[in-house]
Amino acid sequence: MLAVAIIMGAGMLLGFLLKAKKKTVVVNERLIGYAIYLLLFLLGVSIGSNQEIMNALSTLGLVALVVAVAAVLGSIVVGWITYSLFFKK
Amino acid sequence: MRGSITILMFFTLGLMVGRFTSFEQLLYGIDYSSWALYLLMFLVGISIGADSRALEMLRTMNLKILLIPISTILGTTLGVLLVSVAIKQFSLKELMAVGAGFGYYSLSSIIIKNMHSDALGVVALLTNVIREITTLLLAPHIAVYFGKISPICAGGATSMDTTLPIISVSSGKEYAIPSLVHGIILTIAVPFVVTLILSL
Repeated sequence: MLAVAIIMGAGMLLGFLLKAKKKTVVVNERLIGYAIYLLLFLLGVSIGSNQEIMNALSTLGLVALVVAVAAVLGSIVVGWITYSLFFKK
Repeated sequence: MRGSITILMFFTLGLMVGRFTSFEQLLYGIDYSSWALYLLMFLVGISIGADSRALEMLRTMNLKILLIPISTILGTTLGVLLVSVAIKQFSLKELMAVGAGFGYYSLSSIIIKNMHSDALGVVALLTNVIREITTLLLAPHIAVYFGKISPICAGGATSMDTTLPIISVSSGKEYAIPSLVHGIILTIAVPFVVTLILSL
């Protein structure tokens, strides 16, 4: 948790200082994209070579679907209440 | 949506490589994942710091706008809490960590894989991709039936980029800034909240 705060905080500070350097910012965005592709590919490799998880993949997908629907519905309901109470004119 | 499809393609490609080749053995014993995660967090930090909209947001901040991310966090928590009773495979804490991805599938799944397990990382990836796609597809209907705030809450962290266009069409242009602010707040919150929940 502390490590996350320090690393993200340092990144944000550096980003703020580099803000004027548009090229650096563009390169940074591209690096993030590549890093994410690589890490998710490696997550895939790790899962693919794990027979136990591969067998459970459909169950995991179902759990994901249920959690996603619950999270979206919950957000919609509370968002609706907030809208009715504070934003509706 | 193209972004989330690309992500799933890389993940699926990885699955195939892991399943049918011995590529995994090349990586065996190399702990690439923790430093790669820290590097990614650092880069994401730079990207947030360099985003002039983040500072602009603080200047135009209307306290009422904060009610929107609070609603999203509350709604997501309540929804996950309710279904956790029916899910036997994972504990409430684990599902809460997945929910706390708030649609930010890339970073949340990688953090969860590193701090917890591959299996939960997959659940986080799929849950949060589904959240983004659902919002992209349903935002116009959600806005009609459940008010103009709900599409923003449904989108979670994605309301600052991928779902922003559809939200401003569905809820109206005057909700584009609230949507942006909401997305930025949740995007910054995701790594902290996910890490916090998993370390409880």
